Amino acid sequence: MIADTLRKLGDRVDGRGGVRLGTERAKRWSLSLLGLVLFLGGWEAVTRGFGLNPQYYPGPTDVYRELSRIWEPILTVLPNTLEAAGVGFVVALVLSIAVAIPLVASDRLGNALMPFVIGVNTVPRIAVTPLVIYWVGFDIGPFDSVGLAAANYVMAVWVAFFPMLIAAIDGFRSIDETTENMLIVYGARTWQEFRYVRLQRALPFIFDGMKTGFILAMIGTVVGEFVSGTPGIGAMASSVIRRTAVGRAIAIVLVLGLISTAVVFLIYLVESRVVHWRESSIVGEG
Amino acid sequence: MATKSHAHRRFVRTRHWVTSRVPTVIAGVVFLVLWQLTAMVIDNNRIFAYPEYTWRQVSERSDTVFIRIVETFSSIAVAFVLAVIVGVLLGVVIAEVYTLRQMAMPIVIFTYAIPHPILAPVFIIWFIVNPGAEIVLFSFTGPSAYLLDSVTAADAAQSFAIDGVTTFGAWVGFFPVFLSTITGMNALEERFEQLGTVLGATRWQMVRYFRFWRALPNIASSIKATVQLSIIGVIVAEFIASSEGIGYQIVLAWKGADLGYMFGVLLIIMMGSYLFYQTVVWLLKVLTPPGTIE
Repeated sequence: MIADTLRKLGDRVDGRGGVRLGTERAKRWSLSLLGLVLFLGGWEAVTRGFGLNPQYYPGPTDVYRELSRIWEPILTVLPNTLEAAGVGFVVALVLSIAVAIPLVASDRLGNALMPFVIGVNTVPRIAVTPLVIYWVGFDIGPFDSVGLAAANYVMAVWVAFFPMLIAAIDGFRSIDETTENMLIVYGARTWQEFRYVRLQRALPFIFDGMKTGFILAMIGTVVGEFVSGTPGIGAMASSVIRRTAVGRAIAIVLVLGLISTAVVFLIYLVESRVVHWRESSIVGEG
Repeated sequence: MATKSHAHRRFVRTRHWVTSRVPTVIAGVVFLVLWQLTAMVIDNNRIFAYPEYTWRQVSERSDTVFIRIVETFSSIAVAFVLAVIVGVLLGVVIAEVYTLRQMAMPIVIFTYAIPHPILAPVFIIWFIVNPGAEIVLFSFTGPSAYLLDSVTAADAAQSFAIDGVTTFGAWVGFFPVFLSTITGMNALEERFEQLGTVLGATRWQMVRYFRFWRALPNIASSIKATVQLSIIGVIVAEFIASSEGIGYQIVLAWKGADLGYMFGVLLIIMMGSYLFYQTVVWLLKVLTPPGTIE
């Protein structure tokens, strides 16, 4: 759904306005740029024009000033957050594929466990954050910050895993009846089925899952840090509330948003290389 | 004869309804048994709470839980409705105006990729520094005041309000509706475009009579995602920024190392979200034309 939209957002869709062919691309880019400039300019103009207090109503320049002020502390805590999200993402990715294969290979197993997978996917998994922190922090000592930081990794995996699992299952299952019959006629074994057909079919789905999966891993980590207060970008953002420093909060959002946009874009680039037979989109199925 | 077949049909329908619920009931029983068995293996209420212990801890504070759960789900309802309204309206505008869509694209992609919890403080602070911006839509005395003796009407005073928590929940839930409105509006088949031209429909009539209805199935299916996201948004906001709602109760239980209470509150949240989700799906089925939802 979302992939579709964003693919179309980039195309000339409505069949009325817009120019075709070569000039179109340039026009799109310049419009995007214009939109960005207008947005930032309008924002700055409003804050300046009304003479608003920059602590509560910062303009883009105030945010930039704030950003350069907190750049050092951000650099010291950022590796914690990125490591937890990155490791959690990779673990969730590997796990999701490893779990999806038996669920697709065996109908009985799939039928038995799918309701559970879908059920867990619909409940708000983020709500268990304090429980995870409690359990993870328990063995090592309740106030050991190293032990607590491990909870952020667990949260990243826990939040990112299920949507990626469902994406992988959908992908492995996305073969048509003709191909399925062909596999039966050839007497393909299960592993041959996956090796030659299903894996290739699943790749676009897995890549789409990875794009949302990374954002979700970041979400899990950040909320973990929010609640446990272990050093990281999430804890930094929550400490901003007490100081009511809006500019600082926006600066932090900017840093994290740019990082995840960059990673999603990177996944997109890899995807368009690997999945060369299909048009990729920047943002995966959400 | 007619009444007999009618009664028979009702009987069949009831039997179907009952049998279709059997797996859910079995799953519930299996869940409880597994829970009890795990607790018996670990046998320590500080590591893994017994079902019975959980029940006791929650019912001890049933009044607080009741008030807070109503508070949270009022916020979720407001967030959800806001997300749908704003998502559809903005989606219609962006889908219709080509220039605007191109201009908004980088901002849309960027805001979509932000891990949204990091934005929660911005919403919360904004309402802290602007106390006047909070809009109370509707105040009411919560059901707990009527059902529990220990709760006074003042304790149970609750409201549907647009505040930091609900605006953040709406923000989180907004994207699926917004994006699928755009997709749906632009997916109108050529023959309907032509029909509109032949009938001499104005642009507004095209939107009102064709494009919107083409988008409705997309919107309806994205609303399911929006339900879940608004729940997540509201709970995250409660975690970090307020002493409001059930989200804060989980944090309290964690700080007090009260595992029974935590288990209970989590279970209630899961059940509440399930019910809320099913209610919305049911409402969608009732309110939209047949065939909108598969």
